[in-house]
Amino acid sequence: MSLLEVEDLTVRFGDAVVVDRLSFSVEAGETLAIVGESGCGKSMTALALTRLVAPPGRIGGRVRLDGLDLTGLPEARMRAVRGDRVGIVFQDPMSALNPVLTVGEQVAEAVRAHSPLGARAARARAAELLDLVHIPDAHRRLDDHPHRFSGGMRQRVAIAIAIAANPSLLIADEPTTALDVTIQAQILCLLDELRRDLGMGLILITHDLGVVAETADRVLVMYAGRKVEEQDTPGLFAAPLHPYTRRLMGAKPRLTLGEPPPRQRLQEIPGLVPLPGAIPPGCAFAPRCADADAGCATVPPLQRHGRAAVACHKVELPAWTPRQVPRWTDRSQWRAAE
Amino acid sequence: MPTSLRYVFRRLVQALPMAFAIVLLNFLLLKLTPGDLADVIAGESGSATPEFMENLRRLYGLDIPVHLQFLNYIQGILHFDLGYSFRQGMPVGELILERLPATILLSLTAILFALLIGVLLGVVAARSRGSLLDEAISVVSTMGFATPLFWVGLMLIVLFSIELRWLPSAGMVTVGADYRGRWDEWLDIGRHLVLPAVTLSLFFLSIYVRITRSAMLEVYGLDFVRTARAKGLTEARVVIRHVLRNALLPIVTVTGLQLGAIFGGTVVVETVFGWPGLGRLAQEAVFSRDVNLLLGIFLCSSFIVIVVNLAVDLLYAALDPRVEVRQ
Repeated sequence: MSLLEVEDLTVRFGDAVVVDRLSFSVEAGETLAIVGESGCGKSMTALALTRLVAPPGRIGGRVRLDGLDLTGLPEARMRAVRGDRVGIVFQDPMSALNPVLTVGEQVAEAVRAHSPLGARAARARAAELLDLVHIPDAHRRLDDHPHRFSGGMRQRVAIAIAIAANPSLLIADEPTTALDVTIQAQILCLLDELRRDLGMGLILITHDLGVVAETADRVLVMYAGRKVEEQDTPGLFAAPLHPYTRRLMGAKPRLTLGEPPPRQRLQEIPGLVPLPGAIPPGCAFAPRCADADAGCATVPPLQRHGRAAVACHKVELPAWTPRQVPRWTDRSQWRAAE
Repeated sequence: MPTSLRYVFRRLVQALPMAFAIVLLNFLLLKLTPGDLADVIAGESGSATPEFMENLRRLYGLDIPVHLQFLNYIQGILHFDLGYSFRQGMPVGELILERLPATILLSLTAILFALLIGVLLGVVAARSRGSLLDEAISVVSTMGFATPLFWVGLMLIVLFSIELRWLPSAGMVTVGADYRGRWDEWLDIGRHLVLPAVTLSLFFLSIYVRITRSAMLEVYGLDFVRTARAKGLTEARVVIRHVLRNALLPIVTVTGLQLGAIFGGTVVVETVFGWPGLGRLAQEAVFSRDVNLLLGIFLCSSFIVIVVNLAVDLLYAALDPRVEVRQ
């Protein structure tokens, strides 16, 4: 049994379907990246997993965490899961912290929400957590307010809050998008370190394929609320299957240290992600796809090939023999293989 | 902390020019009114010879140049000598000191009541946004805002004093009451306080409802509220500690501004309910053309507003830790 099993997760706002029958799983200690352009339902997926979708949004499907079915849970029990078994880190660290409470109060609050610790013990634990996310001089900084921290430091505080109760799953929704490049790398390293040390499953939501290559074991590509491709990271970078994934890769600049940048135009993907509620019938990517033809007028089924999957009429997966696809759970292994 | 002490000091220094401007304005108003003190006294007595007027002017220091008169005026203020009310036959300072406590009691009670109920209704309205309850609160608070205070006061008297006979209609104490101890007296004052305080609070209450509602809705949409929910906190804790705590900031600002405006309200309400406060004293001064007394009340209330605004600024700084950075 996987740590997290998601089956047919659907989020709708009225008639608009934002996340459409999404299924995936995450193992303990594994990093799954969910990628896609803005507006393709990634963040909504993160919120739906913890049932934080604001009304009038409605969530359907099944989410199982450690065998516990979260979808049917009454709100009070769901609250006990949030922050305890699942931690979330949001995109913008500048606004994710309450400006009028000290950092110590905010971390300690997350600690006390799920443990019987008293105020003093929770404060000590908050200092420990800040230390764990490498905030220098953690003890002294407990009484500082968020505005005294830089963006990267605030994101560390947000991470400390998310891991306060030792969750088994950490969801990081674009945790580095709002940060400088140098800080991005530090935050990714920190997330990876915590995942390893605390044995958490990590869902990393991003639109940055560089982040994916550095951190993820497996990648799920979303488009217009649907899963269009899923692969192990090395497989995805070696041979992207879906035309959308291939175009995403083409849109990414390739720089090699010590060499001048290639003087060629980046390949943009023409058009925009369709708005929820205005998703074209059939393959949602067809209007932007160079390979599309009359055959794309129906929704492509998800073809599976071991742990790889793709939803495209134009891609034929070879017959699968289990030996062909190794399980890349230890990253050092695939870095060596590269 | 030294930074917050510096902040207090700077705000105090900033208040000084304001105080000076008020004193100057007050003095100019005194000088701009047609006729001086001597004319007033002469008018009172019915007839006066030019020599008598001359003597009066010398007696009250009106025969010296204007800038020296201003210096005398400032000196007087520093000794809380605000002049003499010939109508009431008492020094203005004493009159004000005698009436001030009643007004402070009424204003504070009204503001606290308005804050408490207004914030509560605002929170309820924001929580049930778009519902019938939200609409009802909005309609009632708009009516409170739009209805003239004196009319509300009269209607409350008709209902609670005349029809139901629950509460007294006027004054601050029962005339000729025989109190058995302090507690008894306070209870009597409390009973007299209810109607004027409620009347005075209605106007402010509606403002608080609206501000609280909109501030709450604004804060609800902010990211840190989502963070708070993601921690697994109860809804009550999210609302009180994270949403309301931040929504309080605009409420405090507005309260500071309102405390100045409430003085205007006390004039009406104190007159309707016969409440022996500064507002009614001001009304009496207007109708008896008691310029000295009126200007004394102006000056006094202006200073109170300055002090209150200062206090609100400091409170704001205490509530919002970012203030020290913004300066």
